[in-house]
Amino acid sequence: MLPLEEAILAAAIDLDRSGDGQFHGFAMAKRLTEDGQGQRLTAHGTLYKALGRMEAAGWLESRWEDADLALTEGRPRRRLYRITGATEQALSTSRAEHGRVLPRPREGLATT
Amino acid sequence: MNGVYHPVDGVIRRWVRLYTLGLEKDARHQRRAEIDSDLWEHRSHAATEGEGSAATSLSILGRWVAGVPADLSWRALQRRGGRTAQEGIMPNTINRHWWQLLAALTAVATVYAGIRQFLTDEVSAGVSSGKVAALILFSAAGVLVLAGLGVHRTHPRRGALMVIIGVLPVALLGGFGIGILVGLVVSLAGGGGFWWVPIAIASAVATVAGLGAFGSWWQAAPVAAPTERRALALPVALLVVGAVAAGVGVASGWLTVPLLGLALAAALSAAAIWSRRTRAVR
Repeated sequence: MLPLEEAILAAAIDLDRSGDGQFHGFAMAKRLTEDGQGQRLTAHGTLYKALGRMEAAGWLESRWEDADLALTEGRPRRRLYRITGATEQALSTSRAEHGRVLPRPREGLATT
Repeated sequence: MNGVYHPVDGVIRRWVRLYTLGLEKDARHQRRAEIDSDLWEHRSHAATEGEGSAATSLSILGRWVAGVPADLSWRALQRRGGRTAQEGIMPNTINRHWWQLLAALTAVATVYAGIRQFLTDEVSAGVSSGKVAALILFSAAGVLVLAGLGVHRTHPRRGALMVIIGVLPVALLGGFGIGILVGLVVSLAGGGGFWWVPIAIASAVATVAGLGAFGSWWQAAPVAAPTERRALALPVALLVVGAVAAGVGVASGWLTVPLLGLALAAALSAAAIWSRRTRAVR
């Protein structure tokens, strides 16, 4: 697992624990920056490739939000991600393999 | 936040449409919709924070450029069989260090090419001073790339910047690899030979390595907030590099190359200045 993927999973797990279980791509990019994972927002290609790879691996799952809700709010539909039953184990295993301890993400995430 | 898209967003969306062309319908539509959403959320968040439109556009452009290699590799993986085939295709080491491998390849090739020219009889036989200067530039650029790769281990931003500057001459030499397509058509039509192929390939490799280095530079956090003087050092250095490249280009008669080099260096400088100032204001 790449460092970026570990950071995303760690933030996603934290969100789940705090009750904000779902997040969209830009919200995660913003969260990673706030947590010190880079000075700038994660690049489009890097972020969505990583999210796709983690979903394919079963560490995240996603769904597209209701189109009516997006229409009501006058914005494009969001693809919402959340952790799965395999997420925590995958993160623990990766951290153990690489001997990494990431900064603990802060509580909460604004998804708007 | 209103739903009006900025012209810069249009550039990004066109790029997304380009690299998703020919992919399976679901993958294509989902990636396009996801980037559309990201762009909207980015603008919306920036407006909420009171960030200027130009600063937001710069941030979006940076995210785009830094992600181009990932976009292309994602496309390649999709064409190889979709998302389920992504796991295990690329070892982690290559996944993390691919651009450094390409940069090292570029560096070795440029240094070798430079030294080889000096060891041949062509120089003493009357090669123009401009061409000799260009070869010196390429050799120096190769050394800069190798040094940058070494520095990157301890200072990621500084090292990545050195690599970006170092690969620039080779990337420009072949017109960022675009010459591959143009040259292929010309050669097939006119039978003019394929002498340009190594240059175009080297240029493409250097360009991708530079994009990877840019991505690393983009993502890495600075060790400390730069002073005003340090914030100006980077754009000034880039301008000097652009001016030197332009001078060498004019001397050697390659008019297109220096113009491109100067324009790119100036753009990078402007971006860096803007980025620093924006951060300083915050």
